[in-house]
Amino acid sequence: MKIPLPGRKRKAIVVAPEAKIGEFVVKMKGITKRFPGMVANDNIDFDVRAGEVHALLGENGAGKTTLMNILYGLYKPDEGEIYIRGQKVNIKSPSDAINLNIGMVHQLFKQVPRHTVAENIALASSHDFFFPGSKVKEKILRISKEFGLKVDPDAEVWQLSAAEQQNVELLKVLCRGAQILILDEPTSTLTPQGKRELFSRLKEMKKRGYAIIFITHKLDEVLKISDRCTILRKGKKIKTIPTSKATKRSLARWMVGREVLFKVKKKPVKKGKIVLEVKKLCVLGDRGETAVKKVSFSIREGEILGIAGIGGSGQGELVEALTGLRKIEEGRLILSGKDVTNVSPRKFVDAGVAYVPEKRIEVGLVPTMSVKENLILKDYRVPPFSKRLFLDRGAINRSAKEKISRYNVIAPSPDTPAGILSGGNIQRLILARETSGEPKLLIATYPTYGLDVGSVESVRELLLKQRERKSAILLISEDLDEIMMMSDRIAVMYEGKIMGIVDAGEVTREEIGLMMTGTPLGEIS
Amino acid sequence: MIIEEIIFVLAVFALGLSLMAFVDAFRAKTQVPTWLKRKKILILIISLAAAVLLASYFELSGTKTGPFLNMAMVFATPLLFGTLGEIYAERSGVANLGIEGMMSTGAAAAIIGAFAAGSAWVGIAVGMISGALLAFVFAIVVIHFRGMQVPAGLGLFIFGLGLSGIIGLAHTGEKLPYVLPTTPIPILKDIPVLGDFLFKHVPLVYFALALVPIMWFILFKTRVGLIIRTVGENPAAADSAGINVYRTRYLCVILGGALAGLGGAFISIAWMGYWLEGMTAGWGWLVIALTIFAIWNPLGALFGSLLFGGVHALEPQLQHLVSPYLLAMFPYLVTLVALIVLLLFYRRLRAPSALLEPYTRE
Amino acid sequence: MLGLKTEKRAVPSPWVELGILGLSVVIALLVGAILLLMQGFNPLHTYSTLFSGAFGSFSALAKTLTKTIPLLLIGVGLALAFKAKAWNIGAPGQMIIGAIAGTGVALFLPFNLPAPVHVALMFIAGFAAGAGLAALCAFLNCKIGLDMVISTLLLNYIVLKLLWYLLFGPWQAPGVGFPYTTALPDSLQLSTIAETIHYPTLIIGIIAVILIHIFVSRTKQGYEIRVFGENPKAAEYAGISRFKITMLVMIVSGGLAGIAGVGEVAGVHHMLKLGVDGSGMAYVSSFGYTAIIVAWLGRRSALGSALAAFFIAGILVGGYGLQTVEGIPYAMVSAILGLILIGLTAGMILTRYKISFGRRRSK
Repeated sequence: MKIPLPGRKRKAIVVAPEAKIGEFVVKMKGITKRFPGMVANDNIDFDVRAGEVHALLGENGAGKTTLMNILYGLYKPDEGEIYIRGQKVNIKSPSDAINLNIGMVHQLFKQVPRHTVAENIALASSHDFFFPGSKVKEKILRISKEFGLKVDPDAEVWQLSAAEQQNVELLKVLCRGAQILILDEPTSTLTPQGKRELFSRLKEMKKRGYAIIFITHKLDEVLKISDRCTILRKGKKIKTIPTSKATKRSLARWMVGREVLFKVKKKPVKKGKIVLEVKKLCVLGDRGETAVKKVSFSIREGEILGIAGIGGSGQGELVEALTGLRKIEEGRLILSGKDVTNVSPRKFVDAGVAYVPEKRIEVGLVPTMSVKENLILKDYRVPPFSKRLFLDRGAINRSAKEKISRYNVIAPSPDTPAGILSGGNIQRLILARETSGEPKLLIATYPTYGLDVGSVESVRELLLKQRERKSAILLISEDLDEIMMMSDRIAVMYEGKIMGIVDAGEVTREEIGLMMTGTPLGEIS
Repeated sequence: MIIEEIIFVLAVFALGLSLMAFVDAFRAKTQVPTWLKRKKILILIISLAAAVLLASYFELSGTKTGPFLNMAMVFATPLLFGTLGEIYAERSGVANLGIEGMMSTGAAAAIIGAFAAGSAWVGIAVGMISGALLAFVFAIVVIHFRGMQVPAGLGLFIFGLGLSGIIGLAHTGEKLPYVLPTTPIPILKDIPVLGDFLFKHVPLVYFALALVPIMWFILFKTRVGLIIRTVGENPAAADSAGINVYRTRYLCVILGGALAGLGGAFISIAWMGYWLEGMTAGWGWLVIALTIFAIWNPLGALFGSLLFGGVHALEPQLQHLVSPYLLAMFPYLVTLVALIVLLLFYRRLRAPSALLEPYTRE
Repeated sequence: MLGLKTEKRAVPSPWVELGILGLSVVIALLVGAILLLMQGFNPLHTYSTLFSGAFGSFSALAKTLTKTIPLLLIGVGLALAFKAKAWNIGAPGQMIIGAIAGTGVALFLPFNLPAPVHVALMFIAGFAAGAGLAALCAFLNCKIGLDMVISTLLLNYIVLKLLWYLLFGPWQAPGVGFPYTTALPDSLQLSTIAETIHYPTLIIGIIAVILIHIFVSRTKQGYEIRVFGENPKAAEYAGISRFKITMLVMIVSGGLAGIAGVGEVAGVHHMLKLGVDGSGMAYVSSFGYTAIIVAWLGRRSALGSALAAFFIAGILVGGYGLQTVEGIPYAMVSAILGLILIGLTAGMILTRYKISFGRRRSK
């Protein structure tokens, strides 16, 4: 039915004839994109052939996502040209990109949890006016079979696991006829097994002449799956090289501009008394399901306990329970000998629990308030920052200046609104706030996510320093290397349960991987 | 007559049942844990009891149920228009609090248009257009300028009421000589009770009733509705799928304004027949409450409007029991209580997730 | 966006905010002028009559100051509530219930109390009633998730009907046939300057403004309110109690509205009557709604609130002149006020982004 829709100019789904393997399907020349205060892409040339996986490598902030957002029509380049299959094109919006058979799978899934899989896919890929969900089901089943992506079209997205949601994103793009795929950090939510599956899907697609652009900052993945690799650093293209000629070390060097230390210097620290005891904790998730099932562990002074596990295994809910933001249904929480089960967030703060949240800006910061006002977010109730009723502005100012310099938070002034700081500086601000009070327990969730290498190093150093000062630290990270590097002991969570707690020095990656996917420690021989 | 009362009771009971079915269907799609069966039966019992109570009261006081229901439907109509429109606007992520202003301006503009063109229908059209225009201004402020929706809506409310006072001045209190014809539907109008209730109305009422299933169908069973709902839940997802989020929101807000204006026009032209400053009496705010009560579903809008219309129609019946001034509180009080009750039962009414947030492509 | 280049602003500039304020008023007046022209009135003449009616003579100034009092009280309370994103639209109702409570204490308190004590009790009752009503809405919001916009608004109408009931019913002055109560005894009528400016209420208002200003900028709770208003999730994480904050700001804003209500009864009308909430000419011009605009204009500073209250009071007073002298409907005042608010909302984007007219093609 041809009815003008509120949103899109009607264009038929044009699927280009599959390109011959080896042909250049995408050529980006001289792409430049500026944002206030920085150049995100500086005269970048980038091309992709049909039948290849081309990895786009760089640390966070290097400009990879920006470049691909330009290809997908979410941004307009300030300079430069794009050629698709030899023809110059002007991609003004995602619908233009879609019409050119370009599909993008974003890092943060753009799905509507309340809608079904079919509805989510229909949005992007079908023009049926009536009953959009049902008509597209056929197509979904056909394509999912073709590429081996398992999914139930009638399930509502919130019910799916992260890997299944990933499949939905891929299906969305494929059903729309995409032959040029842009995948932005697709493995961030996957288990080792999930990654393997994804890679075999990609190999399938390669064989059919699809062109795949794989954005990542993970060197192993580049070496494993890509044919060619382009490294970006601070907005500039450093090199494009066939993967066969690259090594981990050389890639790292190009990515960062210097030799990278893969190991962090960890001093042996004598462990003290038990600070946190978690006993058989049960916590419910948002949907009423049991997200944390009888979890027990303890952390001592001077110890880092790392929690490994794929996203959605219950870590988020666990952390919320440990900070008073979520109700504990069963079990007990003991902090320095005192029972703090279900105590209010304020009492946790008062008891010396520091928390570095996953969503820095959403939860950990008040972006419109100044840096100095953000720095007192935890301590404003106690002297020297306040006396009885009033805040002591002088003390706040002095302390802010001191923290800014000690923790190297780069900001024009203590009065600058915190929201305009870069990610790394925001994280250092949060750490400054949380650690300067010598907390007994520090909970750090995904602390280095999305940060540039310099910031990652400084954050890890700060955590280790806190460890030397005898804080107990709970570290949650999706970066297995980080967990293995930083933790004294590692607990692995899967579907809300702890599969095992091991000493970091005595376990291998494979063993952790097995636990992450459901094998309890006892069953690993 | 007893037969009438029986039919009335059955009708209310049927309404109660459909409410449950509606809420059940809604519940299946939400992330709320299943509720105990006790509450469902409670709703059934309450609706049955209320129906029986009312019916006996009517029987005793000699009131005819038919005309009562007819009045209830007339009262419900402007609310129905307004709520249907606001549901679409809020489903796309924009809460328009200025409905009272748009309704008032619609009412005044309709009277002016009717007098000017010599036809009630032209007046109705003018009312709709004026509502749409006001909504358009609001949409620019809220979508284009990314303004906060709450104060912008309040400003629209105050401005709209002022504007209606200005333009309506010339015709204040003047009775419109052109009336919309009451068109009973042949055959159907002779059904006892139900005939009076549904089939003996001005065409606008039929239009409102027809809009309910149509708008429900569009919202949940067509691509247009899917687009609207996605824009209101996760505009980034819609944007990434190639949908123009801004355009969708503009259209929904303007539609909401047109329907609000239509509701106002109904009040001044079809119902009262003249314009008086303040005649919308805060009903625009009831629309906002009813949008939530309807759980952003056109079917719920029908139920909510009828509930309110029924209560309002009940007032004249109770005047010898309670002071008319206290009775005037009823509609607002009942709506408030109904919302509280709904929220007590269903703690997590899920509004469209992106409601009140302006969208910018980052 | 249409050919405009936008750039995020590093530091919000106070000058820009002032500029937006001024611009909104100017645009509102311009649109108002168009409306006037459409109805056949001369805008320049209208506005000058408006101005002289508000500020042109000693008696006009007195009337303006009188109307400033409730606007100031309610406006500063609402500004506080809005800082915490508590949308208290119920000021009209809270004002009326305060007036009712105050009248009740004035007329029906059985004891023979010395006048100052009695008057003080009136104010306290007014505060308590307004605060109580607002607190109810806050409670419903925190505990069952009922939007405050809706609960406060519906209560506006409920309380209004209650007032009608009382004035046409049990509280109606005997033998009169009009919706008034009997007049307050002389001892309970507030002393005034220039016959209308009931300064006790004014003093309460000024104290309230100063206290609230200090409270917000310098105390712990003020800081909490600001954090909560700007980012509720961060506030939760910092241990700030949503319930306490919401309750606090609603009680204060509702209470202040209640006091304003008592002030109108005891200081202006000397009885309880319809229109005590300022809605004499139209319901929407009641002080409770008008104060919303005062609150937005004056949200940054205490002085700002006072100036805004005075300015808006002037518009309200001048509007009467327009109606009686020029025949321009009082609704014009509401139209202009509404436009000011819309303009302010639209202008807010300028505080976050710098806009320049660039040569770039639109997105």
